Amino acid sequence: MSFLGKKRPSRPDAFEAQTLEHLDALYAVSCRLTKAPLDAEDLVQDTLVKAMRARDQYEPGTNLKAWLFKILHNTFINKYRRGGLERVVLEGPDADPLADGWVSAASMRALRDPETQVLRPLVQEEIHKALDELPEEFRLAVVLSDVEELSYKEIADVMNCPVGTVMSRLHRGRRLLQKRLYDHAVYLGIAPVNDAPSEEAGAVDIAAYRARKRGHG
Amino acid sequence: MTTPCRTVACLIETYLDDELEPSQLLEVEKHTATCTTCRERIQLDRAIRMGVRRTVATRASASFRARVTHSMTAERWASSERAQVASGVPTWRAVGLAVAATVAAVMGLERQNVPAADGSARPVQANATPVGLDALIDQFVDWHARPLPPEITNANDLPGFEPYVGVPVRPGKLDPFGAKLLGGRILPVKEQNCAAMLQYTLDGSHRVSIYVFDPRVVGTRPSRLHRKDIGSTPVYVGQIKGWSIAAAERKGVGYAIASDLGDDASAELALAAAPGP
Repeated sequence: MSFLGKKRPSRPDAFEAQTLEHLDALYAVSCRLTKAPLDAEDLVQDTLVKAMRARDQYEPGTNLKAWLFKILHNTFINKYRRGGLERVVLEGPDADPLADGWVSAASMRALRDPETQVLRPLVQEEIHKALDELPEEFRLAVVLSDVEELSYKEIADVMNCPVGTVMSRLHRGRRLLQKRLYDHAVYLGIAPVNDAPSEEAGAVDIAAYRARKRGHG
Repeated sequence: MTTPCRTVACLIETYLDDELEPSQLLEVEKHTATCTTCRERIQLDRAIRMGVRRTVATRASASFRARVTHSMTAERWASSERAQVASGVPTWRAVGLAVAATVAAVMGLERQNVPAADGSARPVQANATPVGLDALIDQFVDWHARPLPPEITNANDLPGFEPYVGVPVRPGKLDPFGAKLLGGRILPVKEQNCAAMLQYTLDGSHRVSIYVFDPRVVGTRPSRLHRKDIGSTPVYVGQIKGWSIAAAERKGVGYAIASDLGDDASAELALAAAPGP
């Protein structure tokens, strides 16, 4: 169609088509960030319009989905996040040491359905609540890793933080989830009371975890 | 000497993230080949991750997907337009080109019978089929209920929307109602056609959204609104989701009002937005 004598680009190009392939992923992550479907839609829409405007900055061959998540995260921080930042939770010293992946065999069996080896349905329901209760940056890190399968480096780029911070957020987020699920299982009577992960005698704090990580790295 | 369980447990998370160094990877695999408990730890971790995945997986609705596609299309045009502006091609003021499928409000058009100053109003495609005013009114209500910030705040910039809307978009004379223009946006309606939204406040307390659209694209007879003649002019009014809606066509331009006012007030505003001869 002619527009002031100039041809208007009327068809989506490859960039737009590829971007739209990630719409469900963007929407899913946005839902978990905003916790409200309508806000999530606005956030995704703003993200995609910004992506269109910034498309020259995208480097072909790199992970487009990760690039879109970066825009989504920045947009969320600038426009949608209500209230103050969660810096105390995020960067402050760990309030309480969490079990470092150390769960007894009995606890693990209690959480899983013995037949199907998947989480018990009641625990599954609890995941939804537990995720929403996680500090925002933990939640985003966990979702980007467990659901979107981004690498540590890609998540660090999305969240604009060092890789070590990503690892810490993932670790703490996952442990909080695990503890919450375990507490729920105890509440339901499907796991023993005296075996909660956070009460493990050998619980290791995050500082020690990081130190070990550095040692291994 | 085998690696202790506690050391392996610390590596499981990174192992499942596929981020272990090769030497650590060997350590974990060697240990779990013989240790049932650590294998179970891995299974539990996997189960929780699967649970998270199932919880988070959500599909965008078809209507949202359509809305996003519209706004990306609108942005594509806008980018093209900005490029033309940058390259020195004379054009109208590049205002409000960032069209997200969001709120837009168009209010009164006192000069709606004046043709676009530069004759740039985009003709409706001959094969355009109306998207349906009923569906559009639902959008209008949503956009009114959850307004986004305006793209422009100066009434003089409103004609910049006209190439996208296809009909004149001018500020109305709503002073008698105590109306104050907050600003305006454009939003995609169908394919290349947009509506303009003007956001007003009335007496400082009522929000009023006025939409200007091309009736050839969406039609003018909403089935859920009832006809109310003001003088000899038919106006369609009704309540949708608790909001008062009024729609009218004047001189080939479609107007819709969304507000928390009553039917009578909305109908009057619709006519004020589209003043008679």
